[in-house]
Amino acid sequence: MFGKHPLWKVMAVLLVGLLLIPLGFGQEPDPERSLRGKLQLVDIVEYRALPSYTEAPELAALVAAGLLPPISERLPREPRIMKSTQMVDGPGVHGGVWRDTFAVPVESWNWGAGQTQGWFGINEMVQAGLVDLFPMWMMETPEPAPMLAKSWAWSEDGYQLTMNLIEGARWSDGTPFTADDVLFTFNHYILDPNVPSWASASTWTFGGKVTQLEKIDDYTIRFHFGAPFPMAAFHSMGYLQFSIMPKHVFSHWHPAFNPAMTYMDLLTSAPPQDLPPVTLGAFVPVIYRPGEILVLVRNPYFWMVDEQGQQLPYKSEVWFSEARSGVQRTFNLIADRGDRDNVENPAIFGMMFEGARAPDAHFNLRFEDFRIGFRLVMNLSTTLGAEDARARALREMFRTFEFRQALSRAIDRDGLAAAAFPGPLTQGWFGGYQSGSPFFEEGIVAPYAELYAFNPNSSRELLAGLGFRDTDGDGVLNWPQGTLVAGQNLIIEVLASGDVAAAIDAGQALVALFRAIGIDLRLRTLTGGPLEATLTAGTFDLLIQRVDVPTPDVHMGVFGPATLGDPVWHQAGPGGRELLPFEVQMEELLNEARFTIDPERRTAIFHELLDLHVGNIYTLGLYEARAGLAVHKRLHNIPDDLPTFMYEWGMENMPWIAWVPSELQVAPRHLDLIPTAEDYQNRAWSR
Amino acid sequence: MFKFIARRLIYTVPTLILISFFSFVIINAPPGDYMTTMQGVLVAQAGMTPAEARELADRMRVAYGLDQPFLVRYGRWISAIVTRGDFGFSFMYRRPVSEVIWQRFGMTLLVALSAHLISVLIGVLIGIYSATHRYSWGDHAATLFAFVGLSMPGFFLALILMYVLAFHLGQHVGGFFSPEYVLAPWSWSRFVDFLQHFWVPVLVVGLAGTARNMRVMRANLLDVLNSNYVRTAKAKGLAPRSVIYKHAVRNAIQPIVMYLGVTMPFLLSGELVASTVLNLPTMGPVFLAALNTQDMYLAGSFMMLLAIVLVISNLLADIALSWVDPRIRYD
Repeated sequence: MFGKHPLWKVMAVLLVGLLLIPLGFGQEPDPERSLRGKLQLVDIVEYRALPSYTEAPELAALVAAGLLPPISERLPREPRIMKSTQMVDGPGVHGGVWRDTFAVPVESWNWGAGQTQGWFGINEMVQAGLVDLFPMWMMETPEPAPMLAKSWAWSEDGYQLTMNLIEGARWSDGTPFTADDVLFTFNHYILDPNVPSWASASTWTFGGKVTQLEKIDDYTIRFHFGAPFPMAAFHSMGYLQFSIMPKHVFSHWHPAFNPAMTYMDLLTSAPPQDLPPVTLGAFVPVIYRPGEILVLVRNPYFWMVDEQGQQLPYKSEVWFSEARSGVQRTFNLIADRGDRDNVENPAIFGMMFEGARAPDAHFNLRFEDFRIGFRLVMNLSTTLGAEDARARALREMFRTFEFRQALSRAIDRDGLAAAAFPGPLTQGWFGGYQSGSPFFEEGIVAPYAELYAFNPNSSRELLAGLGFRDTDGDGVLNWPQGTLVAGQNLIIEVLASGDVAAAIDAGQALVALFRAIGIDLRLRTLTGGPLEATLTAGTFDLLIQRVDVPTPDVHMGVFGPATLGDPVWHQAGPGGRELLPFEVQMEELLNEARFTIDPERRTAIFHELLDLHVGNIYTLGLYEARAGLAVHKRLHNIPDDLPTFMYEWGMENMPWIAWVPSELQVAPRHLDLIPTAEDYQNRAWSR
Repeated sequence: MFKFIARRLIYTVPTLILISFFSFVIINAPPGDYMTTMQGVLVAQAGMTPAEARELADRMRVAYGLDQPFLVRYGRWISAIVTRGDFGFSFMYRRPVSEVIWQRFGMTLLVALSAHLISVLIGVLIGIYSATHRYSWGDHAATLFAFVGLSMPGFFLALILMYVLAFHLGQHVGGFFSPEYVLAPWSWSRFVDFLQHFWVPVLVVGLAGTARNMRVMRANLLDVLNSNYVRTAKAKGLAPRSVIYKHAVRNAIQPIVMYLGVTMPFLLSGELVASTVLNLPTMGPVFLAALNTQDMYLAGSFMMLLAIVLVISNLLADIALSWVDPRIRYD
């Protein structure tokens, strides 16, 4: 088929070519355009009145036509200034369209009730919280940044936190934002058990007491905690968990304010077609065609500016194409109909390389530190979901260190990584934290390398030491005498989400690996409702998980026993739960972390947790992968080392300061829909 | 004829009732319901304890009537459809089911019918060519095409097409329009953009049908061409075109017409698969999501619509058959 050349020669050439690909993987970040860990809070944001402000031409036109108040009346007394230090291309120019893609239908504009506006960056465009956790990735010493709360102070004894809110900020309909909105959100969304908000009373319980929130005046609030200095509270004050709800809109439907309404009315209010909604975000949704597109335009009342006094955002319009899956975002970027993509699926790394390396490629592709982890978790719960003798016996085995060690040594981690995608974008992983996590320390996990080395012979020895023998000669070990299911084959079921292709692939590889040591592993894939039901009920043996977050200080439940429902592989049953000794230690450390301000002590705590996690084989890491960020070359102010996710999603937080030079901008088409007072008259909440 | 049609339509009613009942049974078969999905989300993302989440989910079940026994729920749903044309409420979209379906059903039918039409037209034409030029290069090529088309899974072909179009030809794939045309008013360039997107699902959905029609047509026509009356017609001196098209094809095409109605649901299910891969705003992705999250009224209503389409297309096929074959009379 290849003429004179024998097949093996051709294969060799192909193989070498394949190996060369990693050498050209992505572009290296320019230190001048890298921000990770370099800045202080003062370099990022401040609140100050500037001598003059400028607005986008389309807004100036509306002011001239008398449809909007002048800029000085729309901005707060001291707007939030995005400092130029974080702008790698400097302050920008107004105009242009941000083109993006989303794959979850818009549920409603009632974000406080746990309803999504589509994810993929849309939520971040319409929601705003008390603090902002995103800038922490740029800071030398990470601390929450002010957002709607511009400053705060602890009381001496640490039981009270007084926060000062930004003064003079307005919702997109011109209504002033005040402490009333914050209290409404806290008392009637978060604490109200009838509203499925993203945080709940348990999130805000410290020292056994539910936190109280007091209004001091229109722009001052005070938290009263049940325990001193609960630092973890800040992690619940940002986007999503404490996104502020407009009281003047939703009190219309809330039963506590309107006896004619029920909670069902509240949960079905603000449907996606009821446009434009009232928002404090940078953009206001104006058109929604389900399954096709969501269009947002700039918010005339947005309360942030750049150092030169230009009102943000720079972009005038946003087009979010709706798709069935995130893959469409990749296709849109490749076809130059989209401006960005998160490259997280090892299966398409190769495709993205090709696209980025083309001479006329219109996007940059950079891969970051290892952040995406695939791991196998073992159900350790004795009180939840162990429905038959086999499950109970298996849980006891999982709770035995030697058994976990046997499983661990049966896994060829480097092989799994190479099978997912060969090259430096994937590598074997012990578990614990991903190596791109701010709290990962090579020195902590290195001593345990033996526990995670691929050694099937050792696995077989360990299992034999526990009494497992193949008594019936079928190649599968049998349970020892004295266990609940003595004599039966050692069958274990592993659950994987049908939506995560990489997890299913890993599961299939594990079936073969475990068979080699005499375990009959059965792979089961579930999606949607049945998957959720199984996880909530705890009726699984093993679970293959994809871990997206590298921040154990914020997402404690992903890595250890932070609450009764965490981690998913050791949930409490109706009667409580029996933590293993090292888990008890972890629980204590996590509780301490919730109340520790000192960053050095916090780091030490999470290092100890990593040590306990890896040293006791709490989870079985499989492999970790780098995530990549593909960004259209015309987008300015995107740092070279912007993470796909660190505390918050990376690109999803860039639309405030991203800009495109005028000659490269895509012309907006719906600026005539920028909301004015007229668009907010006679709405469902004003009747 | 009209009596026949009327009688057929009356027979469809018990059929539809049975289908609706079994759709409802199947959809409610997996454990849990939509609120179970919600429960999981509340625990995973809202930080609720499992107990809190369960409580809230139970309250929502009562509010939506999901705590009622199966027959009660079915009875309410079917009576709402019959008396008010109300297909129920979609929990996923928080809108009446009829709204969700109406918006997309048109495009679903457009893709399926276009694929159907083209598969018949092209399949028949290639089949005729193949039969009349038996064992020629063209015939062999057509046969190869038929084997490939019949054995290639639709979603696989869709993936390959998307990859080639996107990465090698720089075309936009997915959906019916490029993002800049979605909201634009109709114009020539918008129509061209639509065609540039539309041919992919039509090809994917219609390929297997085209291949099958081609093989069937070829076989039937070969049979017919060997029959006595065709030989007589040739002997009478009729032009070859007349022999083939006026006499032979008219008989050979009957099996294809007969199966037009039956193949419609295959095209619809093929469309479901293709639209899921190609990100089309049709019923496919919606139906899949509804099944995954057990959004039962949406899933059940759509299955009923599929059944109605099957019944109607069978009826139309029978009528078409009687037009093609004068021996068939209904009374």
